[in-house]
Amino acid sequence: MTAREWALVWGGPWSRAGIALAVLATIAALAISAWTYRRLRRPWPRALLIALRALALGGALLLFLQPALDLRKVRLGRNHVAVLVDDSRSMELSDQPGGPTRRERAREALRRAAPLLDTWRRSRQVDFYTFSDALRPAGDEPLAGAPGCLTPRGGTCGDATRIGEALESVARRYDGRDLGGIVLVSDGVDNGRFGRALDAAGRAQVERLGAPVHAAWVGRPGLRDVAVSAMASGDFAFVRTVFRVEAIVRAADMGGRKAEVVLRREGQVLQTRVIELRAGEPLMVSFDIVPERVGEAYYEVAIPVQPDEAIGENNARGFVLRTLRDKLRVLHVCGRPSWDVLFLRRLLERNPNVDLISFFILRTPTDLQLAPQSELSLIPFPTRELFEQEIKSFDLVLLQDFNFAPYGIAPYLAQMRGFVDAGGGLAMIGGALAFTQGDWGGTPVGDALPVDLLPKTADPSRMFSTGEFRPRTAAGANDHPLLRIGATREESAKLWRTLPPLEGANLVGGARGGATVLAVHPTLRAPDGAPMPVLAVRSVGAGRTLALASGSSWRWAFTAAAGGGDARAYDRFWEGALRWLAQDPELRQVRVDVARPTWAAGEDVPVVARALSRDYRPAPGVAVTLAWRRLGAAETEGVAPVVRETGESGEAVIALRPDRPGAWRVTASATIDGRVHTDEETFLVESPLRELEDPEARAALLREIAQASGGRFVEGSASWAGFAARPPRVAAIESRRQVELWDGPWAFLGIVGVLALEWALRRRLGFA
Amino acid sequence: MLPRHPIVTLAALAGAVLAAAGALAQDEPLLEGTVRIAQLIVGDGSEPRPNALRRLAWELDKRTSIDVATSPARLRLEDAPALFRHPLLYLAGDRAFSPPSDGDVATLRRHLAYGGTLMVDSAEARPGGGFDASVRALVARLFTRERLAPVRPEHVVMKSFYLLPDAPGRIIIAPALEAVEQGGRLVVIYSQNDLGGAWARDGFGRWEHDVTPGGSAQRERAFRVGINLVMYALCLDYKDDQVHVPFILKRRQWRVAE
Repeated sequence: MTAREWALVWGGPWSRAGIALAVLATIAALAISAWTYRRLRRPWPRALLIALRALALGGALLLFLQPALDLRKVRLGRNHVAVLVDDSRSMELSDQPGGPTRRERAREALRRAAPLLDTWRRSRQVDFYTFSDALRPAGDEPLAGAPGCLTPRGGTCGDATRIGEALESVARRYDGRDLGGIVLVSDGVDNGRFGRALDAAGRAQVERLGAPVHAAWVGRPGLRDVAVSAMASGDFAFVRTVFRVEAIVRAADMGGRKAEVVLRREGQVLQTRVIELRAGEPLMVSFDIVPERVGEAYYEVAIPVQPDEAIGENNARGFVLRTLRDKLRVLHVCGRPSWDVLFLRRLLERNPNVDLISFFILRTPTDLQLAPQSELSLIPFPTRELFEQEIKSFDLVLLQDFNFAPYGIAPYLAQMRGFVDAGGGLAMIGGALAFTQGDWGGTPVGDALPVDLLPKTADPSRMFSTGEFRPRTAAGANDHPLLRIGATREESAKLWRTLPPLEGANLVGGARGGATVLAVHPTLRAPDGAPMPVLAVRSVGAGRTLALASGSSWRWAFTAAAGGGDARAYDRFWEGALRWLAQDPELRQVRVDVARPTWAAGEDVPVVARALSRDYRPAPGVAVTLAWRRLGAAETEGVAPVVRETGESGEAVIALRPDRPGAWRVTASATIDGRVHTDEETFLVESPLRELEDPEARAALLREIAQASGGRFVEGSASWAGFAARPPRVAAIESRRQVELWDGPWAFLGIVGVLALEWALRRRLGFA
Repeated sequence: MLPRHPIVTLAALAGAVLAAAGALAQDEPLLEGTVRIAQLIVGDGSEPRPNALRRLAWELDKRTSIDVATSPARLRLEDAPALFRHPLLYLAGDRAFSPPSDGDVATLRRHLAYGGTLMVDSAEARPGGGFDASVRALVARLFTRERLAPVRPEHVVMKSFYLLPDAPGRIIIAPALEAVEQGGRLVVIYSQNDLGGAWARDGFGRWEHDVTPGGSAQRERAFRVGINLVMYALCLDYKDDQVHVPFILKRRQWRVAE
């Protein structure tokens, strides 16, 4: 294609300094002329004279500069117009019930713009692209693909709308080429760098394009939707500490109706809130919860789908909450002060990870009362508060040399047992008031202990043994966490042989079914003929119990120091006991780990299962069964468990690919040394419908982009007639001619005529 | 001689029987949880109040839940293995004692560092006597920085069982107990008011010493001081636990912040 062009050029041989000198001289001459006319009092004649002199001087200056017309015939290149069409999921929405979808409106706008596009094609290259989370070249019918993107696994639509990133891709793509303009067809629902409005950086980015961006907004007001668009909460909480769940709810054109917001924990409704669905600013909905258990759980905030709502899939949002233990909450109950109580209390108080609540019986009902109550610091035993109201708030209950009968605790024994069954830890520590003498036999608590209790008799020698003894660790139990009192296995074994002897033992029966005997009396026998357990543990329900049939472990802390030793063995023993009772995850023999709590849909989720033998060393060759299911789903949804054998490192690694979004729980189980151990981990596969968190069509952003770039903005299928593309650049000059404007008599005559007119006027005014 | 009464006579007989039983039981193995206080013998071995601990143990046994061996152990610092079976040591004296050897001081230091408590009771009836000087010298050797300092009235030792306004003994020379605090715990507690003189009772149930100026009421207070000291040695700051604070403040008619 060719075109004719002209331009004014200056033909004089003068340098810039010469031109400047001429201009200055002209101005000076004009100033002198004006000064000479100062005596003329009437303004109009004076102005006329000065104007004539200026005209004459200007003409002289033009002659000096030698102006000419440069006439060219040029051949133009073809520049590009990029048409960017949004094909994200939100384009599937109908802004009004029964109305066309945004995609259909975009398609209609493109159809109406066909004549303009055809015009552009004569001189330009029109390039079509679709964009969502990325820019993709498209054919001349960019929205010809099948819709159906409003279900998590439907369609091939993009999962985001990133207008800023798409424009940047266009700039890179046309770098060094002639870009004449951009047309942007979108609903304006940007969830990329631009968001809801252009900031300074976004404006600068648009201006740098160097081409007008025309925007065609294919959305309409009136979308009826409510969405839980984001969670403003963290992803971890502390057990038994208030945690605030905050959800951001956006409503569009719901007419102020009321709706119920529900917080669920793994499908179970915890709390509800009623909110008013008003368009405009997002609404923060808060729920205060108190997680009761350490571990992971899936929570979901949901709003029921409203009548006429455009999309229901964005009405719920979930997250995995990891509940941690900030401190181990220990209830330490003692039947009477003793050295054993003193040293255990010292240890518990020193441990920064223990939140200790103690209750010691300082006076029994049979003791003499020689002082009025007001002179004593004694308080009533808050049995109901501790054993009924607050027991669930503890991780461990330590009953040390304690008999319950005199204190009205019998009605609460079932609650104490329930505490263990529900996952709590309970230890009974010996002393003359513990075990059989403490009337624990036949009680719900006594039945949870790892050892049988003997029938109570009047003969103390059948309930206690006095004298010193050194407990023997049970065969095969040396590596149990409770027995690891040294830095190494060997040191632990040596320490158990050399620790100060205990003094006095409670006589107990044999180990109960499921109990693990860790240490036995060197000489005493249980009724079944086996060595009498001194230290035993047992898993009961979801909890754990421990029995130490002696009230003199304090000697490991104090008497051990006599010969230059120290209390480290005592400290390690009890810290190991606390951790084991509290089911410290570090002490699980089978563990399963997922690297992070949230994954994108379609992503492989690597899962590592670890198996430890009874001595807590890596266990190779263990068959670990890994099963996973989506929480809330009745079935495992076709995911069959897999079995992997651990390697030399005791680890088995597999990659899971969950087939749909939601919360998934992977469970690892393995049989080690005849016992089944399990662990589980929960993770979240995010829904690809994040695009629909805030789907209301927004024209403002598109309008701002158009204004910043010098483009135009239109709504819906309105005409694109105002969309103009920059002309293409010149590719070649086919012919060229210069016409000198100064080289002729008319210029000279013109100047002379003006001077003559000025002379005549001066004479008339009496100046000549 | 103290006034006599049939009930006092009966109590004295009972005390004598118990004391005899306790003496017999001194070397027998104890039931689990039984607490035995050890009388620490230093210097020439003099014991100004040999029956004081037995009576304190009797009172402890009758008034509190503590299971106490009524016959105290008698130990010297040289007997380290036995020393480390008795976390509570009671040192009483009415005269200067020869300084323990460096090894014995180290043993006692270790005993205190690992959880032991030393209760010191002066029977000199005057401040700045020879026993007092020996005790202060011993404390100076035991600790590099810590020194004996008055125990504050609000310290937990003053409320570990009884709510004590003061700490009298047979006499009242010092207005307060003194103590060495280490690691948040009173490891040495010193009374110059002859607590043992108020506690001591002979085998026939007679109080061995008059208590001045407060008589029997002061004696009762002296027992309460002894009981609180033992209770503190066994329970430490248990009574400072948050759960007890409102109750104690209420009885003392202090205000509890809502």
